[in-house]
Order: sequence, then structure tokens, then C-alpha cells
Amino acid sequence: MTIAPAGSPDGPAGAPGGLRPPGSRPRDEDRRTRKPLPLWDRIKFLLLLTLLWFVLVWSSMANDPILPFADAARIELRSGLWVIILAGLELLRQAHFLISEHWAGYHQFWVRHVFGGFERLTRRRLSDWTRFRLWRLFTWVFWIAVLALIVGGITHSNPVTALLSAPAYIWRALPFVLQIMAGVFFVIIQFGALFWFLSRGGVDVYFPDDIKTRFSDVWGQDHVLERVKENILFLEDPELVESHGGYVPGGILLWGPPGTGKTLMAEAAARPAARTCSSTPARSSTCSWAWASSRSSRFSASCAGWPCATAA
Amino acid sequence: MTRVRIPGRPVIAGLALALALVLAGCAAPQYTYVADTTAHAYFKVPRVWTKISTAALDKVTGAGTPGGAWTVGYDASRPASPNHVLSLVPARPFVYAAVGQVTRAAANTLSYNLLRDSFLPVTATARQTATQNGFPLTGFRLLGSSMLELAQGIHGIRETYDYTYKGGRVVTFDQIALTNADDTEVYVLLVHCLSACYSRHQAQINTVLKSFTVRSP
Repeated sequence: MTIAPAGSPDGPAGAPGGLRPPGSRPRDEDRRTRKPLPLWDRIKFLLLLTLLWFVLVWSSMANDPILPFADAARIELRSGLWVIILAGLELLRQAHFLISEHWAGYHQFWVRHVFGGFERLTRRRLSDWTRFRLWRLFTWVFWIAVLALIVGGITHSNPVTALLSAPAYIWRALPFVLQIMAGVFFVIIQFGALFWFLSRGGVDVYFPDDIKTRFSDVWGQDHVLERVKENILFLEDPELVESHGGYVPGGILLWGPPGTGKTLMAEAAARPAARTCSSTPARSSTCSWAWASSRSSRFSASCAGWPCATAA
Repeated sequence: MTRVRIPGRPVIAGLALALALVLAGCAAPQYTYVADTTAHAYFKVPRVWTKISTAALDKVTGAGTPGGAWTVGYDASRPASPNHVLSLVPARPFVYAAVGQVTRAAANTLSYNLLRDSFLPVTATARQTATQNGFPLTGFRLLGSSMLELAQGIHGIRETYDYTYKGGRVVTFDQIALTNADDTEVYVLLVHCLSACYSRHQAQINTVLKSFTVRSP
């Protein structure tokens, strides 16, 4: 039987012997390489820039009825060069990420020496709030600049002029937008709402890394916490427990007034499983093993390979 | 060991397609697309032809100033010159385009014949009047004439004719003159060069003239 290391089952990887709870993954901060990106994160900006470029091509064709697609594309490869440059930079960034995911030395160089140095410098000079505000300002300026370039590209005018005249364009387009919105609200939304109400009680999938809560995050209710941990140990190998005459509980019901930590505890119980979990509204859950309940039930999770780790 | 998901075939295919598009697009477009977006008049000329600015053209023709007319020229000759529009005989095609507004009073008298005579005298009456006023070109010969009926009530004529300059050099003019449904705008596109040059570049000139598109605002 695999037994979790001494101390908390979700304790740090630096726990005695450097062991981790069975089946768990290394913590993000202990990784030597970059955490692999999901496919969507790899391609989303490239897709966005591709779409943007096609919008510019479409705009050129819409402004000139004799302009064929091939020539519009060629023209936009020149006049819309900034889109191509941004796409190139994004491609470079993704290549950098891909190398970082495979090569620990390369990743550590960037994390410790390049960004680490910048991080330490800004931490020394600026408070966290100032850093946050500066980053937020940078993000706003960046997206406004991108918007100006897009509007400038579509209207074939200077980006600054285009940005200043954007309110006029919006005002002019407002009647059409309102018509579309009316269509959306009266035709589509009612069907969407109908299907949403009918489909309530659906299942959300949580991947192991999505759950950050640990038992160390749960303060108070120590006696309940110990019982939950104990049951998790039973569930490591229920057949073995039962073959020795033991009894593995089919579930736990956490009951109590709101705000007493039921959900937190259930999330923490799901964490050491380190398996893909599915979450259902507690009302519709058929989960058998742990169950937290209050008048406002919120969360329940069943984990693949485990009977259930649940909160509501 | 951490398993890294390598981008699948669709992603690689997508990247290859994007790269192919970029490489294919590196070639410059074959044509220069010319537009008067205010009057919604469009045409295309081969990319290697040189643009003659409106100011330079207006200086030569004296047109453009009244009513804020839009004029533009494209010259296939090297070096390009605004004088090729009229006074010098171009050995390579020269394109002249003009869009102008017509006053309400003039719109009532606008006819196909007036469109024919919009650049050089083509109708017999106009030629006779021009000759009496000392018009220097002689040897008029009509090569082709057709009436055009386009979408949105745009209508006009296409005339192809020769004129002989001093020194016996025959120049061929191919001209489209259009007006909108209520005759308040006139759109002219004219290509001309030496007769031999016209025969040699006829396909190219046809492409330019056929691309002439006007949309009613």
C-alpha cells in the first residue's frame, strides 16, 4: 500500500524524503522546465492576428469593388506589415516557450537571470500596488494602440486620427448595432436562456492543477479535517483495506451553516487526489464519498479513480 | 518526466499554410488599383506604370479646378511626363481619368454626344467647331463606338478614334465617358498612345478600360 509521507498529504515536495502524495504532480514552483501550455494558449494570439489580417483584407476589398482577393492579400502584406510583425513576434514567443518546456537550463536562465532580475529590481523600487497599476496601464495602452492600428487599417487613415474619430464611427454604427442586439435579445437569447435552464446540473471538468486549495489552507475545524484526511488514506487502496476486514466509507457529509469551510475542505480533499475531477452542482450530484451541504450548496467534485471528493 | 504535448498535424499544417500564403504574397500585386472613393470610381493599371499627380496634370490640362474635379494620370513611358496627356505624343500608353460634377442646369443638356466630346472633339459638329477655332489635330478616324449601360443607372459611351498630330504621327485614343442616373457626375477614362503602340498594347489597354467601375454613391 502506498502511504502518503508524514505530515499533510498535500505537503510541500520538500517534505521528508522529497516525496509527494501518490499520484500527484510536482508543484508549479518546483518545476525546472516551463509548464506546458494548452494548445489554445499556443495559438490564440496567432489566430487573432490572422483574423485581424483577414479583416484588413476584407476592408480593402470592401472599399474597392475591382480588387480581387489575391491582390488585396498582397497589398495588405505590405500596408498591414505591423500585423505580420506582431505575428512573427508571437511565433518567436511561442518558440521560446516550447524550448523552455523542454530545456531546464534555458528556462532557468530566463526565469532567474532575465525576468528574475527585472522582478527583483521592480520589487525593490516599487510597491506591489504600483507594479499592478503600472502593468494595468501598460495593458490598456497596448490594447488601445492595437485598436488604433486596426481602425486606422480599416479606414486607411492615420492610427491617431482613426482613434480620435472612433467615437464618430461608433455613433454612426450604433443604429445597426442596436438592430443586431435586438435580434440577439429577442431571438437568440430566449433560446439560449431556455437551453441554459434546461441544462442546469451539468458537469464541469477540473484538472488536477486547477485546484489550488490545500489542507494547510483550512483553518479551524481540526477534528473534521482529521476525519477527512483519514478517509482519504482509506481511499488510497480501498480493496486492501477491505481485504483486511476494514470498512471504507461510501461518503462524507459535511453539514453546517454557511461560511464554516465546507467547500474549502472538499476542495482540499480533491487536491491530493491529483486527478481529473468533475464538478456538479451539489443538488444534482450523485457523488457518494464526500458531501458538504448547506442551504446554499455550491460545489461537489468527483475524481477519476476515486469514488468522490466532494463539497457543496 | 513531464510529458510535453507537441503541436499536432493540424497546427503544423496551419503554420505551413500561413507561411505559404506569406511567401506567395511576397510577390507584388500585378496592378495598381486606383480609386476616387468620394465619387466611387475605380480602375486598375499595370503596377509598373507611373502615377502622374493631379497637380501636374491640372497644370497641363487646365482642368480639375472648377467644381473640385478629381483627375489622375498613369504613364507607361520612361521617364513619365504629365505632358504626355496631350501635347507630347506618348510612345507608350498614357491613362487619364477625371471625375467631375455637373451643375443641375448643365445636367439637363447632358447628352451622349457631349460625353463623346468630353475630351477631344469626336462628333462632326464638335470637330467642325474645333477646326474653326484652330484645333491643331487633324485626320480624325473613328475606329469604334459603343453605348454602355451599367448597373445603378450608370450609362455612357466608349469611343475609339485616331487623330494625326503635326509631323504625321497617328495617335489612337480609347475613351470611356460615363454619367450617373441623374446626370450629375461625369466619369472619364482615356488611354492613348501612338497607333502602333495601341495595337501592340491593345490587350493591356482593354484590361484597363474594362476595369473602369463606377458605383452610384
